Amino acid sequence: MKKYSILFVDDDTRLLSALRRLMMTRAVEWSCQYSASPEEALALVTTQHFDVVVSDMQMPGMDGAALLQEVRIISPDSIRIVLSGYSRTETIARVAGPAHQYLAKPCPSDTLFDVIQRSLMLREFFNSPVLRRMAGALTALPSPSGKYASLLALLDSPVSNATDIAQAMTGDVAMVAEILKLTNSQYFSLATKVTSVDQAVRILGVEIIRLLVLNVGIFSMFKATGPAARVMNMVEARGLLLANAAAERASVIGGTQRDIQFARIAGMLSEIGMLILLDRDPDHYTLALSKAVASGQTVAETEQRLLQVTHGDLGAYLLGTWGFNDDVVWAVAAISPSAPTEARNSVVARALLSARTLHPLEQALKAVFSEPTAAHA
Amino acid sequence: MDPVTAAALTFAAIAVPTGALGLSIVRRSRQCREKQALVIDRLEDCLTLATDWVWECDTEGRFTYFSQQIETILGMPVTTLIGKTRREIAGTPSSSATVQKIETAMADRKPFADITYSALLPDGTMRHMRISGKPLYGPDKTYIGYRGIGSDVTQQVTEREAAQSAEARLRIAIEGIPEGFALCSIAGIVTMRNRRLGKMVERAGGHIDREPTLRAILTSCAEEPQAIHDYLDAWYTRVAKPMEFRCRSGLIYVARTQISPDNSILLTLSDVSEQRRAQDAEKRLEEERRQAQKLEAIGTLAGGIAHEINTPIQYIGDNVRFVASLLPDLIRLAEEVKKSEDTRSLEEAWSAVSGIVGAMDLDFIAEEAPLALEQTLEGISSVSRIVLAMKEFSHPSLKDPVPFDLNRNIENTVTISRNEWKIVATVDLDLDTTMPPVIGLPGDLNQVFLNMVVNAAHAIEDARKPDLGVIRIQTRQADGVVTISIADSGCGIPEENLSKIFEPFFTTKDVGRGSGQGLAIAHDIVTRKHGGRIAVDSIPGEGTTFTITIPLDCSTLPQYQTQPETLSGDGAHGQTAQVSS
Repeated sequence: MKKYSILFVDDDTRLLSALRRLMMTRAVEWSCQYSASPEEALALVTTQHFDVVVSDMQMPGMDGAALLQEVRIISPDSIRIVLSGYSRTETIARVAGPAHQYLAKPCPSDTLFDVIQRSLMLREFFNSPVLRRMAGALTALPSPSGKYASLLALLDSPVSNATDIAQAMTGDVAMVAEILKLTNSQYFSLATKVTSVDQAVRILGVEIIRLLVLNVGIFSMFKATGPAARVMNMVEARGLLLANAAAERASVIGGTQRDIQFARIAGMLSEIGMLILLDRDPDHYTLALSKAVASGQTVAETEQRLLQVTHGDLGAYLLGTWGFNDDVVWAVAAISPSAPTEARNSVVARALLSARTLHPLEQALKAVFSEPTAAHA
Repeated sequence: MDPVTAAALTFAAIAVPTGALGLSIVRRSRQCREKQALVIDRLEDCLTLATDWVWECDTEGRFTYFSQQIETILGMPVTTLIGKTRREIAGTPSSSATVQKIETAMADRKPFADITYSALLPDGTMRHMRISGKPLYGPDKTYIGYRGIGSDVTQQVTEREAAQSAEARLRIAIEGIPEGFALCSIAGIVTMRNRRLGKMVERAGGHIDREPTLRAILTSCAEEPQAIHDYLDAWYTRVAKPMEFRCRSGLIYVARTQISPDNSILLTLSDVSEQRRAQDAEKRLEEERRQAQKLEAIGTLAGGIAHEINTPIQYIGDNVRFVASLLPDLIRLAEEVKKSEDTRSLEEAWSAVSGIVGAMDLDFIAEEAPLALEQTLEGISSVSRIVLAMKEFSHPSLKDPVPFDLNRNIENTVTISRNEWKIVATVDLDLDTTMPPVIGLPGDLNQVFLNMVVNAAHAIEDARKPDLGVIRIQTRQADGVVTISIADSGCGIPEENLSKIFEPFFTTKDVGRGSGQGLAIAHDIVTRKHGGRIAVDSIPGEGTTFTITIPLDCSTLPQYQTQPETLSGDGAHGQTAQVSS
C-alpha cells in the first residue's frame, strides 16, 4: 500500500513534537515530516512530493500565506491546509487564495485527522494528475466582467450594505463558491454549515469581502469575448437555473431542509469546473465544447478525450479540497464517467442529476452556439 | 429746623402776648418785666447761636431784616440783601417753581414751612435754603409782611442728590450685568435685583415672590432644592464657592454669592447650560475617541493573545492524546502481571507480557512519553502566565492614583504583546530592582506601554532589517521621579514628523494598523494624568527612543487633591464637592 506523505510546518517546536507523537497512531498509512522553518519546508517541497502540506500562519521570515503561495507554484497538486492560532478575520482573508482549507488552533486531533483523511481520499478518487494540477494551480475563479464590475462598484461605494453585496454575489458561481468556502471553514466554527450567500456575506462582513476582492483577488474578471464570453454567461445563468431546479427536485423526492439547501448549492456550483477550464484557455475550451455539440458527443466525453479531465470531476475535486459537504461534492461529481455508483445515491446527488437531465448542458450549449449574435449581454 | 431755632420762635411767639398781658396785671408787672427781659435775653442768645437765620420782609416781599447769622452762613453782608426780593436773591430759574410756591403762600397770607429753594450766589456757588415763614401783622392787625426762618440745607440736598444718582447709576449698572443679579440683606431678603434675574428664574421654572429671599428664589429654580438648602446652610461658615445646579427646566445655572463690605449679600446667577453642553459633547467625543483606541488595542491584543494561547493548547491536547493512547497497553500489561500472581504458570505469564511489550514501540514511548508530559506542563504554565498577565494588565480604569508595581506592569505588557513583537524582535528588559511602588493609574500606563511596545514592533518590522530587532525597555527611579525608556532598533521617525506624532489622528501607518490616536492618548495620560513628560528621540534608519518621566507619586497633583469640603464630613459635602469639581 502506498503511503501518503504529509508535511507539517510550525515555528513552535513543541507543537511539532506533539504532532509527531499524535501522528504515531497513523504511522502505518501516513509518512509525516516536520519542519520548524518555512524556508526549510520550501526546500523539502522542492525536492520531495507531499500530498498534503499543513502550515502555521505566523512564522518569522515567511508567513504561512507566503509559504503556501510558493507551494502552489512548486507543487500545485499538493493539498494546502492552514493550521493557525490567529483569530483575526483578516488572516483568513490572506490565505483565502493559497490555502484550500483553514483550521483554527486549537484544532481537535480528530478534526485534523478527518480533514487530512478526506483530502487524501479525494486524491485517491480523483487520481488524475492533470486534474489535480489544474485544480491545485487555480488562483482565482473567474466571474463575468459585468458581475465583477458591479461588485467592485458596490464595494467602492461607501453606502453599500451587506444585502446589496449579497444580492450582487448570489447569481455568480465563482463568488458563491468562494464565499461559502470561507464561511464554512473551520475557522468560523459555526455549528451549522452556511448555505446562503446572504448569511455568508453577513458573517464575513463587508470589510473582509472588500479585502478579499480588492486586495487578495479571490475573483478575477473573465476578459475573453465572443463565443467564450457567451459560454461564460450561459454557465452563470445555468448555475441559478440548476440551483432552483435541484432544490425543487430535492423537495419533491422528500429531502430534508438540509438536503434542499445542499441541492441548491450543488446546483449553483455544478458546472464550476467549466469556469476553470474556460479561464485556463477560453478559445480552445470553447472550441472543444462547440465540437461536442456538433458531433453529438456529451460534454464529459469530449472533455475527457481532449483534456484528460471532465469539468464535473474538476469541480467536485475543487469543492472537496475546499471542505464542501460530501453530498455536494459527490453530487457535482456524479455526471462524471468515473463517478462511483454510491455517489449517485444521496438525495442531493439524485436531485441534481434529475435537474441536469431536465436541463441538459448540451442543449444549453447548442443554444449558445446556434445564436452567435444574440449573446452580448 | 434745628431745636435752638424752634425754641427761639416759641419764645418770640410767647413774648408778644405776654407783653400785652403785662399792662393789665400791674401787681406783677415788675416781676413780669424782669421775666420778659430774661426771655428776650434768651431769645437773643438763641438768634445768635442758631445755625438758622431769621428774616422779615415787607408786604411786597422785599427783605427788611436778616439776623446776623446769614452773613456767616452765606458769606454775604446783610446790607446787600436788604431791599431785595427772594426771587432776586435766588437768581436761578431752576428754583422759580419753589419761589413761586412761597410767593403764592405769601399772597394768601398763609404760613408756610420747610420749602426748599436754591440760590445761585454771586460767588458762583449754589446754595439750598429751607424756608419757613408766617405772616406778620401790626398792632392794628394790618398785614405788614412776613417773618420766618431760613437755613442752609445745601449739604443735605447735595448728599441726597448724590445718593439718588448713585442709586440710579447702580440700577443702570446692575441692569447692565449680563447675569442675574440680586442684592440681599444679610438675612437673605432681596432688596434690589435686575430684570435678568427675573427672566432667568422664569426660564429655570422658578418664581420670585413679592418679598423674595435669596433662598426662596434659588430653591424655586433648582431641580433638587435640598442642594440649595445645603449650600446656603453651609454658606455662612465657609468661603462661598460658586454653586452649580440643575434647574427644573433642565438648564444649568451657577449661583455665586459674596458678602459686600456693608454686609449685604450679592448674588449673581449665570446660565452655563450652553458651556456645559459643549463641554459634555467634547468630553463624550474625547471619551469615544479613547474608547475607540482602547477597543482597537484590545482587538489587536486579543488576536495576539489568542494566538499565544491557542498554540500551547493545541500541543497540550495532542500530547495528552498521545499519552492516553499508551495507557491501554500499560493497563493490559499490569493486568497480565496481576493475573500471573495467582493462576498461571510463570512461563504462560511471561509470554503474555512479552507479547504486549513486543508490540509496543518501547524506545519511542520511553523517549517521547516523558517529553510529552513535560511539554504539556510547559504549555500549561505558558498559558497560565499569559492569562495572569492579561488579568493584571486589564486594571479597571481608576480615577485616583493607586500604588502599583511598575516593573511588573511592564513585564505583563511585554508578555501579552509577545505576539506583536516575537516575529520581528527580542525584548530586552532592564528594570530597576530598587523601584518602590509607583503611585499612579496603572491601567492607563499599561495602555501607554502597550502602545509603545506595539509601535516599536511596527517600526522594527517596517525597517525590514535582516536580523531580529531589539526593543529595550529600561526603568529607573531617582529623586522622586521615575523614568521609563522604550527604545527600538526600527525605522525611526523622519524629522518632519517628530513634532506631529503626538497629534491626534496623525499616523503614517496603513489602515487597520493604527488610527493615529495611540500616541496622542499616551501623551495625555502621561502629561495630564500623571504630570509627566514624554520625550522622543529618533534617528531615521536607526531607531527611536521614547522616554517617559513621571513623578513617583502623582497623587500629589492638584487634580487628585480632595476638596476641603469632602474632608469636613458634614451633610453638605456631597453638594459642595459637586460645585467645585
